[in-house]
This record gives sequence, structure tokens and C-alpha cells, in this order.
Amino acid sequence: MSMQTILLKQHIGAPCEPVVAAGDQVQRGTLIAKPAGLGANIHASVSGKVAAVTETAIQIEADAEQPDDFVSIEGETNLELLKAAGLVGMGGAGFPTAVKLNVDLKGGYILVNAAECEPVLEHNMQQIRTKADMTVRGIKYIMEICNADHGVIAIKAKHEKEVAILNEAIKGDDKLSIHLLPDLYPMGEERAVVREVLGTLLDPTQLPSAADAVVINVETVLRAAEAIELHRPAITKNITVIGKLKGGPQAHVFMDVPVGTTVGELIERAGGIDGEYGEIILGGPFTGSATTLDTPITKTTGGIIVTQPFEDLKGKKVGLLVCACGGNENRMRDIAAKMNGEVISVQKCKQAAEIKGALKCENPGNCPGQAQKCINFKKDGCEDIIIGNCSDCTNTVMGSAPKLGLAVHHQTDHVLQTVGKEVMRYLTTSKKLEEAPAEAPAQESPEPHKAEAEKPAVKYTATVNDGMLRIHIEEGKDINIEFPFH
Amino acid sequence: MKYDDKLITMEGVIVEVHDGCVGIDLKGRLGYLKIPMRMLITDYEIKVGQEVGFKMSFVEQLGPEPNLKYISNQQTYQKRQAEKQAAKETGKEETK
Amino acid sequence: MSITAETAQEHKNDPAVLCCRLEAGNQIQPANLEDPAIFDDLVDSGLLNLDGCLKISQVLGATLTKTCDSLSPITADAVDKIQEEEEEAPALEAAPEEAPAPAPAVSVAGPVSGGTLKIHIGEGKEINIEIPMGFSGGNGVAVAPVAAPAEMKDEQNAEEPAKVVRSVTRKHYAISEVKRGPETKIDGTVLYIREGIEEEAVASQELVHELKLDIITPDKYNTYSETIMDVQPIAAKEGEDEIGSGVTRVLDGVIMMVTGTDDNGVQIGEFGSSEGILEENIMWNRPGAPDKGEIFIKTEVTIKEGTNMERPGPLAAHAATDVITQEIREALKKLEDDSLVVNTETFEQVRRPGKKKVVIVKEIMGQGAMHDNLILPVEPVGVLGAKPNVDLGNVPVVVSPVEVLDGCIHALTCIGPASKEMSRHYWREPLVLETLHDPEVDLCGVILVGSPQINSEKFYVSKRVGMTCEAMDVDGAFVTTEGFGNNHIDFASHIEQIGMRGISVVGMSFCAKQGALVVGNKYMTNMVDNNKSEGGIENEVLACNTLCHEDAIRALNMLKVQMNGGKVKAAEKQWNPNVKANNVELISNVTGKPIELVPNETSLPMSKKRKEKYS
Repeated sequence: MSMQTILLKQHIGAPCEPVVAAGDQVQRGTLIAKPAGLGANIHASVSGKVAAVTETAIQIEADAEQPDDFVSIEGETNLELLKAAGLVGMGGAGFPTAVKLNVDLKGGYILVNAAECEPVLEHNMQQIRTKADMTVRGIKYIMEICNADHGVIAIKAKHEKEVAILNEAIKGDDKLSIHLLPDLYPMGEERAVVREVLGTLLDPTQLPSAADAVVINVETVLRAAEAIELHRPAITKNITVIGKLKGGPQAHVFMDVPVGTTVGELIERAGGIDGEYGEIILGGPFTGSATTLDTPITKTTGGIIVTQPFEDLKGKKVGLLVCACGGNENRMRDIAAKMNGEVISVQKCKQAAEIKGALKCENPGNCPGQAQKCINFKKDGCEDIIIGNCSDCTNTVMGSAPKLGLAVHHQTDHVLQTVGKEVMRYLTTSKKLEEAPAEAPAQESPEPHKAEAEKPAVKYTATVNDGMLRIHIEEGKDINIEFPFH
Repeated sequence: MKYDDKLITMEGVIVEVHDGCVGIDLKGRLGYLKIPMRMLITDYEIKVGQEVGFKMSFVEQLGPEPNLKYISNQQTYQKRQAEKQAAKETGKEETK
Repeated sequence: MSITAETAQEHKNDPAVLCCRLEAGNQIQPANLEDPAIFDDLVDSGLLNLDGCLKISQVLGATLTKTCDSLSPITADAVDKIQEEEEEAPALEAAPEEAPAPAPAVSVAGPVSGGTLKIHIGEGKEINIEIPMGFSGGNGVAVAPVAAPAEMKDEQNAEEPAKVVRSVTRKHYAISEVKRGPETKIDGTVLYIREGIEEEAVASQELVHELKLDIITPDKYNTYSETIMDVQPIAAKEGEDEIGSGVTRVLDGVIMMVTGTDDNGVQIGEFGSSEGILEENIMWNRPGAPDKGEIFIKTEVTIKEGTNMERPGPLAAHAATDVITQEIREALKKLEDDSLVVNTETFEQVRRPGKKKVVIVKEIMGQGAMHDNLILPVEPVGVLGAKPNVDLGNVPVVVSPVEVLDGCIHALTCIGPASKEMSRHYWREPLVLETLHDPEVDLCGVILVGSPQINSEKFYVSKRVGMTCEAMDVDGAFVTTEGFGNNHIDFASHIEQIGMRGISVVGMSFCAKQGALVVGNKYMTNMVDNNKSEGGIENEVLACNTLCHEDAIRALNMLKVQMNGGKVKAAEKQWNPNVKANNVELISNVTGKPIELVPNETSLPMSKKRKEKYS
């Protein structure tokens, strides 16, 4: 090992303040930076000497020999341990976990996001295969912290093996259940998970707590268990490396990679880049962005993808359909430039609402229609369009764009082609699933408004005024009204 | 018409301004256009040298046969031109 | 894109098309439906075929029985049940969770004797149902008599008697022959025009170099003519009478026709196309055109070279012609023999208090040069005493309908022979006549407003139009324009200015294909297209696409519908001549009076080659 670069900003909030200086010796697990405002502790992921402290990062020259143990964290309560561990949401958002879990759900739901929604990533599934028991214990700790009565693991139905393992792991605990998701993007979006599991569609501005729920990434759950049981700080991350690599395009999953390891090192460990390539993506095909070999990974890094060279559009006029599910406009423009297309029109999906500078989908995975956008592209003179839409919206685009003579490219095309998967175009998967396997005990979706719906009586008033009979019914079920005619 | 939806952007320069019409040279040696005032949408006072833009498609023949009416109008016009020219020249000679 | 419940309600009679893929078993919600506003684009692009498509009101709440992809029209075989027309829509809308299955539809469409109205709501909240008591009975509730709306209306209409505020009497003198002679005079039914009068006409205008006078009798209809600049009635006021009152004498069977070129033989105010064989270029009997059989006193004016497109040029041609017309007027004024009067008609402006008050806004061209009109000359359609619209700044000028019919406009407009309103058009303006004679409305006046060239000036004058209508406190307004082009910008703005004041408004213009409006606004919902041409284009046939009786009737009925709270169906995106045919049929069905449609250019003789091409 050589130099580890540990970024001071690995989370939502302000960069952390370093608490070490150049020349200091640090051990694996030594606290090296503390939050200034909203944030989370950062610990040394390796033992060694602090080589430099810059405005954005702490560089540690790692010792040749690295210990297996680490400096333990301390805390009175489980929540304090999570805070001390510097745990943040590892699905990519990076929200400090201790802040998120400092909530009383009054018997509500912990929704574990194991959707692993971005195509081609596999480290979440590998975690379930190898560390199911600890993951399940993590769920229980978190339910306790948040005062939740239910823990639901949301996982795609296609992962039959992992579902079976989880079913085994939760056996006998009637507070835990599994909710199966269809194989669609973006089932792992926080509000999509809430909608799928609880049947409540949140506004883009609402947090899951509005539905008495917390959505938490499956790896964060594991790291929480590690912090609580082992007093282990958050210093490693599970990473999928995939793409145009020597030895083939299959996924290489690296568990417990020290934070600060560079993209280049991981690619080398996976075999190295195989010849000419298009770009290296940090993150998933939809929400990731282009990166460089010397970029260090952080607590929120999930994937490293080496793509094949881009298709050359030879300067053709392209339109960009920006939506909340895929890359933002900058990312889409980046892809258009790499494809050698001239961007002449940018349309935004109707459902993409701008919340605090970022796009959020008003109803993730359920298309609001795209025909008007396609007509706009045509009117603007586009020949090709690049879209970043979810499965459902992409399918809608395909319903009109090709007939209008627009060639459709999806921002994930070069990734999916690299790994030999079918590109996103038409939708063939149903949004609904068959009944879940029988082993799953608490299957049916809980009804959040059940209590209200059970009210037996129908409250109503009827008045006659101005020759009109007015009936007002406050609420009710199975109401029958009959009037005889003259 | 076969190509009426193939819109292309044209630009031109106003080169003549009359009370009832303007003359426009199309950029790129693509012709000259004289249009009545009501076919020009103006946000500013019209001046020679202003650039204008519009979309058009291509001009297609509607059929192979010339319309005799227009041929006859053309001939009448030419005949009159010749007569007027002759009258002018006669006038000049008379004044000599 | 997906629509809201409100949009779905507005478009309940429009086709129901899925905006996105929807799987079988799902209940159809507004959010699943594509916005009907873009259907035209979709159909144009070949993305959509609406054949067999159900209406939005028929599918909302129904369950899809097969998975359909985006832009699939919902057809009867794709839903479990076609929802019936629901008059109780608001109540049902408030209960979106309602179970779709057995008989949720509320059908109160027909008074089913002995039938039962059944409403079933599976589950819902805040449901309001209102049922007129007339439909229910035997419900233990006394049925209160409802005051019929008609009675209230009658009460309002306890009106003051109609009042004649102004009238003009036209005395018609028949002319059967026009001859040249030593003096201009009317002898019986023969009109003599003084020989040599041409020289005086030429001398009167510096820019006029030559003037040729032709008497075109029907046997000469097949001769060549330069472009027709104007068609004018020959009329004179009696004694000291002014336009818009008293007595007007008019010659029947003869009209003035102004034509001309410049020294170089270039047509005045024209871009070619309208010159040619007279009978091939005139749409006979249009309000602004000669009637078949009439004699034309046709001037062929030659003006200074290069002035054909400058303001003084066309004006000089008109003024020179008017020297001749004026001498005829003088002769007409001198007539003392009342036995020569073959017909007398009186135009009365009747104010009808209590009836819906309407105004006609006539947009006239004012962009400059031949895009001009002379307003209020001393003699009908004269030149003397009139003010050019352009010099008046194009601002609205309020005139009486009988002033319009008495020749208060001398039209210089030359562009677009088919949609130009000739001077004679105003003399026989069908909308003014129709509205004036309709006992159901109170026509208070006509607003003449010019169409300036520059947009800022257009909005300046249209705001004045709005204010004028506001001050007049009218219930309804017609806005008419002639031709198309940038005048459609102020045309739209006039309608907006009037509409935003809560006044019902109907627009009339040549549109069809070529004259499609360049701008629009939300008040432009009631439009009448003056097109008559077969192909929907501005052809070279004089007055072909001008406002005719049939258009006036449509506009008047449309305005009445709107003033009485009715709604006019939204226009189709593409020009469809059937819309007019349907409306005409509807109107004649209601009024019991058949409306005979005027012929178009296909009724005119064509050269052999043209005949082959078009048949």
C-alpha cells in the first residue's frame, strides 16, 4: 500500500475539520477529522504517517504492514456508537446515519433498501450471501434505535438465492419481512421503496418519516451492526468493479476496501483496463459520473465501471431528455460530448421536480408520458436523442421517438453493452409481481390507513335547497344510493 | 406537394424599403424576395440593412404544363414594355 | 403528458389515449391519459390513430383488461366496461377510490319513467352529490317548483321599445348603357361621360401620366385588364346631406373600376397575378365585386415609374379616377326626375334597449402605401374630405353602421385580391347588414381600426379598441380583418383586449390553409373563416375569400351562443371545410331558413390547360 487520500467531504453537509497534522502517526481507525456542522467522523482507514493535510483531503502514507485490528470507537448507546463510527448512508446519498436514525417512528417501519437498483452492481447481493446474519442483526439494532415495530427488506425478486438466504435469516421473527420488487429502475429510489412497500406516495419534498418509516441502505445496516457489536469505525466500503477489464466483463466485488484507495488501484486489482475504453464511471450507470484513475473512493462509492468506447454520432444534432432518475444535465451533456453529438435541445421529464438544486422524480418509475417531449425534439431539429430515463419512461419514449425518426440512445448504453447486457429500450417486465414465495410469512403490504377504513358507519348529511337534493358523505365504504324516478 | 414539411431556416437583408413593400436579398446568393408590408412582421422601425429570418421549404412545380393565362399576361407585359420603350424613344427623337 | 382530474373533466369528450404503458388490471386514472392538446401533433406525426377510441369520460374508472403500451388509444375491447355519461361527474371525481365494477355509472340522461337512479360508491371521502329535485321523487321530500330560467330572462327583457337613431335612404337609378358624349349626364337610363375628361383627370394628379377610360359591357368581360385596384359604387348625397344620414342616390347596373400600372408597366400596388382576363379574375356578386351583368367604367391609370409601391402612387390613381366619378356624381345630383328612381331602400340603425348590445370592430389595413383606407369622404366612396387611416395613426374611429353602408370607406388596399375588401364591400357589408336587421341584438356601432406595420403600434391601437368597447359597455363584439399576414397580430390582440374585459367576441378572417393565424390567445375560441377557395389559399380571384352573407350568419349565431352562455367547440388544428358545412347546416336547422352558399373560383371559366390540370 502506498498513499491513501481520504477526502474531508464524504457525506452530505460541510467538509470535516482535520484533527491531525502532517507528520502525525495514525493507526487504522484513528479519528482524523470531525464534522463541522452536519457531517460524520472520518477515521484513518490504514495505519501510517499523515503525509499532508489539504483543504479537501488528508493523505496518509500507509505502512507496508497493515494490522487486522483497528482503534475501537466508544459510545454509551447504540446511536452514539453509530455517530462515533462516522457512519453515513452508503447507497450514495451519504446522509449521516446517526442523524437519520435519531427519530421515534412510534412503531413504524425500517425499510432496508437492498434493491441494488443500478444495473451491473453486485456488492449488495454479495454482502447478503456472505453476511446475512450480521445484516439482519443490524436491522434489529436500528429498529430498536428508531422504535420501529416492523423491519422490511426490499429486494428484487430476481435475486432468488439471496431472498432464500434472507428468509432463512429472519425465520422466527415476525417483526421482519421481505418485500419483493420487480426488476425495474428505479426501484431503489428512497420514495419508490416507500411506495412499493407501504403504498404511500410521498411528495418529492417529504422524507420517509412522513410515512412513519426510515429507508436505509443494506450496507449501512451491516456497518451499523459492525459499529455496535465490534465498535468498528466506518473505514471500509464494498465495491463492485466491472467493465472492459482484462479477463472479461464480469463483476469483481471487493469487500471491505479501505476508504481512500484509488479507482486505479481497484481496477488493477480487478485485472486492469483492457485496451481502448470510453470512460470510467464512479457509481452506477444511471447516477454515477465520469471519474479518473487517481480518484479515491469514499464511504459512498459503490461501483467503478470501465466502459467501452462511445458510439460516434459524428456531430449529429442531439436532444437530451433529462430526468431525475438518470444523470443531471451536466452529466448528459458530458455523455453527448463524448458521443460527439451537438446538443441543440434539452427537455426535462414532466415529473422531474427540482428540490434544493437536485432533480427528484414525483412518482419514481411511473411514467408521466413523453410524447410531447419527443415532438419538441423533432421540432427543434434533433436527429438523435440521449435519454437518462427509468425503465417505464424509456419504454414510453420508445413508443414515439423511433416513429418520429429520432434515434434513441440511453445514457447507460455504453455500460450495458460493455458487460453484454441488453440496453434499456422497451419494457418487458411487469411492474407487478406474482405472489411472493410461501416461505415469506408477513408478505402482504401493510395498509397504513387501515384503521380509518375500518370505521363501520357512513357519516352523511342530506339537505334540500333550491330544488336540489344535496348529499354530503364524509367518508364511507360500500355506499348505495337509490332514487326512484317519477 | 412532396417536400412542404422540409423546413429550412433562411436569412436575408432588407435592401429596399418602399411604402408598401420591402425588398430582401437572401444571404448566400439564394435569391431576392419582394414582399408586401403585411407579410413582414416588424418589432422595430424598418431600415435598409436590417437582417431578417424566416423558414421555408423548397419550391416545387405543381405540374408539367405551363398555365396559358400566365403566359398571356407575361406576353402582354412584354408587349407593353416594348410599346412604352418605343414611345419614349419617339419622344426623345421629337424633342431633338 | 399525463393529465390532472380537472383537465380530464375539461376534455371528457375527447379521445382517451394512454400516455404510458399500463398493465392489465389497473384502473384508468387521469394520470394514465395523454393530454388531448397534443393529439393533432401526434396524429400528424403518424404516432396516433384515433379510430375506435373511447372518450375520456367513458374510460375513467374503468379497468384495463389488457396491457397496452404508451400512446395506445383505449378501445372498447381494452376495458372491462364503458362508463356511461355521468352528469354527476363532480361527485364521482371526488371519490377516485370508488370501485369500478358493478354499475357505478350514474345515468340521468333520460327521464326513465318508473326507473331508478342507482349510485354505488365502493369507498370514498368527502362525496357531494347534487340532484335536481325534478329528477327524483317519492323520496319523502316535497318537490319544490323550480323557477324556470326562461321566466327570469323574460323579466329582464321587459324592454324599452326599439328606437331608430339614424337612417339613410338609398334611391336607386338604373343605368342600362354607358356612352361617351359632349357632357357628363344621365339621360333616362343612359349615362354619358364627357369625352376628354381623361385629360382633366390626368392633369389633376402630378404622378398620373396617362388615363384610359374603358366602358366594359358584359360582352367585353373576356378582355384583358391590368390589376383591379378597386371596385366602387357610383353614388352621391342629395343636396346638403352628409354621409350616414339623409338621402343617397346610387346608380344601378354600373360601377367604377380602378386599374393601373406605372410607366414601366408594373402593376400598381401589386405583385402580379391579378391582371388578366376579367371574367377569369372576378368572383361575381361578392359584396365587394361587380355583379354579373353590370357595366364597368374602368380606368387604366399610368403613374410615374417606380411609384407603384409608394404611398402617393396608388393614391394618385384613385384620386384621378375620382375626378371622373365626381363628375358623374354631379350629374346624378342634378337629376330632378323622380320617375327615374327604380327602387328606394332605407337603412335604419335601430337601437334595441334590453337586447344584447354588440359592436362590430372592422380592422382595415394601415401599413402604408396601398395598405391604406380613406375614412369619411364628403361623397360616398369619394376622396375629397376623407382622412387617410394611416394619417389618423390607425386609431379606432367609431362610425355608425349606416355610415359604413353609406360609403364612409374608400379602400386603397391592393394586396391579396381574393381577401381584400373593396370599397364596394363596405357599401354592402354583410355582417353590418345582418346584425343591423337582427331583432335579437342591439348593434350600437362599428369601430374602424387600422392595422399599423410595427408591433408596438399594433398593441397601442388594440388597447384603444379594448377601451372603446369597455366604454361602450357591450355584451358582444365581432372583430373582422381582411387578408392575412401581420394584421393577424393586431387582429388577435383586439380579440384579447375585448375578451379580457369579459365581452363575448367572435373573430372573422380568411384563414384556411394559407392564412392560418400566426398568433393566438385564450380568447380566440370563436372564429369564423371567410375562406371560400377550394384549396384554402389566397388565389388571384377578386373578392373570392371576403366576408359574405353566409359568414355573417355564422358569426352572428356564434356570438349569440356565446353571449347566452353557450360554448363553441374548439377548432380542429388543421383547416377542415366540413366545420363550416356542419355549422351552416346546424344554423339552418335551427332557424328553418336554408343558407345558400356562394360559389367559388371553380365556377369561373378556365383556360383549357387549367381545366385539364384541375379536373
